[in-house]
Amino acid sequence: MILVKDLTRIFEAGNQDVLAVDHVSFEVQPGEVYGLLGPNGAGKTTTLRMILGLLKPTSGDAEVEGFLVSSHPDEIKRRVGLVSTSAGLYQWLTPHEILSFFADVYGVHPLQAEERIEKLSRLFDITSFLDRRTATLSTGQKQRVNLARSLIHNPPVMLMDEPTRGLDVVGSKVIFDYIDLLREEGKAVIVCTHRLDEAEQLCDRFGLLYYGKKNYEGTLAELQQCTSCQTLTQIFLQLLDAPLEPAGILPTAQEELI
Amino acid sequence: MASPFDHDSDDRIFTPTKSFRFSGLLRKELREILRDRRTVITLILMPLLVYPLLGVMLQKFFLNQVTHLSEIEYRIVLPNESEGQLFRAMFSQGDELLSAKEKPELEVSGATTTGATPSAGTLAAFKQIKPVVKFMIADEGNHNQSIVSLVREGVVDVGVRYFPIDVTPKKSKEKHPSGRFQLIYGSESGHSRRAAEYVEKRLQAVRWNYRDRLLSQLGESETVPFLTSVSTVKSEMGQATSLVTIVPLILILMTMTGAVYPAIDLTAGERERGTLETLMAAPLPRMWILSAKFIAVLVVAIMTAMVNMTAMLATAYANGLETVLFGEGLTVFVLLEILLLLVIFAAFFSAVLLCITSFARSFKEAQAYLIPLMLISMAPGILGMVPDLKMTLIWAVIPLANIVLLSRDFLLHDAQPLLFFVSVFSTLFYGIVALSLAARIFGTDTILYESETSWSDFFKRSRKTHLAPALNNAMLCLAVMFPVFILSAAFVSRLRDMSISLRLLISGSLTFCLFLLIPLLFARLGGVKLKTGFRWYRPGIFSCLGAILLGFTLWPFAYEIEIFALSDERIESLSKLFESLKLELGAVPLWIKLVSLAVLPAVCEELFFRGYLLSALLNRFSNTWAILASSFLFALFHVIVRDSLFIERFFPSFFMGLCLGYVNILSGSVIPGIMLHMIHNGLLITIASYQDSLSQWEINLENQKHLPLVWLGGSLLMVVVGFFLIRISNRRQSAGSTDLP
Repeated sequence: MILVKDLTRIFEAGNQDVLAVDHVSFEVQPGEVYGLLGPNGAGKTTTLRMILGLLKPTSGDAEVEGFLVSSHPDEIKRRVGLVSTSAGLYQWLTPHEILSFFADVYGVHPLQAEERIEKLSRLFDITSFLDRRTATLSTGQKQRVNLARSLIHNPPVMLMDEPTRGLDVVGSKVIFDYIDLLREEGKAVIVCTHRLDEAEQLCDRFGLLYYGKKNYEGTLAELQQCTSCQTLTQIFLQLLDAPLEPAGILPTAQEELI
Repeated sequence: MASPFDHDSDDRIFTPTKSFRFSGLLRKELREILRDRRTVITLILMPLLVYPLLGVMLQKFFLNQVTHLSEIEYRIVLPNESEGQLFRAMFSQGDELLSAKEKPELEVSGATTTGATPSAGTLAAFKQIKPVVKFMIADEGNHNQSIVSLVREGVVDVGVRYFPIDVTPKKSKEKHPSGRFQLIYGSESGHSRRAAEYVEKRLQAVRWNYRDRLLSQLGESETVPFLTSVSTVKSEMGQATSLVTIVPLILILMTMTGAVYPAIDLTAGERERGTLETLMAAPLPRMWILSAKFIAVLVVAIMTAMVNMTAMLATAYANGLETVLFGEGLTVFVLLEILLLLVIFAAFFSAVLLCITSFARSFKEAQAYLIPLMLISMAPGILGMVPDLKMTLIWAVIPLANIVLLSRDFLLHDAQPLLFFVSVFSTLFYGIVALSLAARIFGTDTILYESETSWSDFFKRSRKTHLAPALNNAMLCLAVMFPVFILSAAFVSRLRDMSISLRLLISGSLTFCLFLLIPLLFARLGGVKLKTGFRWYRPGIFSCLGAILLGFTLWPFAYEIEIFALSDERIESLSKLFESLKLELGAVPLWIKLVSLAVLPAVCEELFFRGYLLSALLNRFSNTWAILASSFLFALFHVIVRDSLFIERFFPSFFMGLCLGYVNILSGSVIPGIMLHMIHNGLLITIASYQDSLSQWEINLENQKHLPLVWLGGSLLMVVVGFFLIRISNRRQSAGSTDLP
């Protein structure tokens, strides 16, 4: 479903070149929630943006449902939903107008769009303020509108960037339920987060990024077995203690398969 | 959670039309910007507050002047009561005489001392001012001294002294009392001088009246040495200094005020609010997003300018100032003219502002970029007010200055069609350039995520190789070519001193640079493969034969179309023009004419219009639309010849464009078109060169308007055969293996 092949991105910072993402490869299957984990600045968001075609990779490519982002960026965008905490909503429009607008631009049939708006509104409990100006909504309400927006075109792939950042327990619970829903719907999901405790509950498989490099990959059980640590946090701390390019890095799950 | 997609009909069946998705985008942009309170403030509150306030100030200013004028007071001091009475009687008489004479223009006020009050219109009031004249008697005693000192001290404006004279007429031998009024005024004071002139004019009227009466008594009133009459003509100096020249500056201010906020809000603002990433993640072409934003900004700019204009005109009208601005007053025609200009200004500014704000990552940054632009824009605005500044071809391609001067000339009804055309089209192309640049920048990762790498990438060569140029690359190329084309036309027309052969060669070289080097540069920047981008494929042999046949046989139709588009007077003036050209061209060797007028234009124009441009158009549109669009642009470039506009050339050029485009699509190559074009031009040049020899063969085109029907019929047959050959060739090529893409 999602195939990331040797994605690399180099940024220029002054006179220096910074390697933000270094030959990252992984695969996500339908119905699987993949956690892309790492400390701040590890290259998680950059990887996500490259998959979606918002950022050009320096080298490498990503593939969604058989389409390469380098050659068919629009086909990828049609098939991907994006949930990002930094994503805002149009403050002068109502949630209903925002949902209709995104249905239009993703080419959802108007009748089907109305049907979906109704269902998604019920699902995310936004019906009561569907016709209120977005600027007047609370953070939680806005977050629910944003989740509904990401699903309006029923994408097979969902990319989530720090979805729980700045949310309270109730808000986080909404996200957990939402990810469960995505899994049930058979969507391939990538979640970028540095909240390892949450990731443990949310994701089926993990890729640990550190300085742009993917150092570990596997299910929690696999990671526990490889690192002899119990929790993701412990695994992570071990990673941080390790030298920048630790000798004898564990082979990734993918390489094991090969 | 229950699935929201249960019983969902398959969403992939629906393929929405482009217009459907675009209208959704446009609706969102308009809603967003028109609901914004800050837009509403600039749109409605500003004009509502500013203009009445400005109006009051203007009114105060003008009325002050008028009041000042209406209260013009001429104080006249007289020596004593008896002389004063005599003077006043004379003065009143003179005033009445003058008033009677100027009645149609002036409202006559009964008494000289009351003066006129300003009537309805302010401007009218200006014309009808009548000063208040106050008389006073000097102190008893030393009259003369006191009169002089009163004038010197400025207490009065005019002093009057009376010197009685006893005149003895020759006929009656009787003494006749008379006198001389001496008017004293302050040489340093204009007011005092005007007062003295005012008084003298009235006294003179009495004298002349007396003399006229005497003459008529003698029966000699008709014996005057000469008569004079005065008539007026429209002065050019006067036009340039008319108040209408301020209108372009007002238009700049108004449209820019309207466009600034939405341009920032819909680009940098959207990025700051975090909605840009979601928008860029949607499968929308960047040019669409930009176009929707452009239309939204344009709508707001036009609305703001219209509300401003309405408020301003209403204020002007209420204060009676409309005739000050527009000589003939506010007619529907003037309003329509202003509306047209307003749209041009708004479109220009919307595109330019969007381009600049697309660079900005934040509201603040955008504002920092726009302030210098606003200041710079004021300078061309002032150009309109520079007297004697004539609109030329060069001015017509300078951004903003062209529409400022165009507006001035347009409102003064003095605009030349060529310059109007060039200004509007070059502005249109600049708008396209700005939007294309904006589309290249807007929403890129540089702007979206502040990465530093791509800033220089905008002007770097595309890494990918493309088979055909992108439409905005071709449009950008066209937008660069148009002003260069105009400038080169202006340049060639300046070379009058050179020999015609040299001029033709220079013109040919410019054609080469313009239509070949510029597209090649753009092809390189856009990473376009030259062979496919310019449709340079090996044509079939029948295609070439067909094209050659068409080259020989299409001209009668182009000729008939041109004749059809021309009026008889135009034909006459053109034949005179061509007559003079023929004399000049006669001396040029045929090969020079063929190279500069047939070979170079054919190769270069075909490679651009039917090569680069057509392949870009085919990328986006159907064959028919691509041919129509390329033919339209081809014809547009042919309408301008040196420094004049030949509208009638549009139709035959458009026709040739259609034929060449069709040949190109049929043969799948640019080469047959080059052959056709070259033969067509070459044939016409050769015919013109050997016209004398031809006339011996009883073929003379000059004396008859239309071609013989037999010629047309024969040509039609050959044309059909030509197209048929190309079609066959195409089929044969498609059947066999070809090097078509």
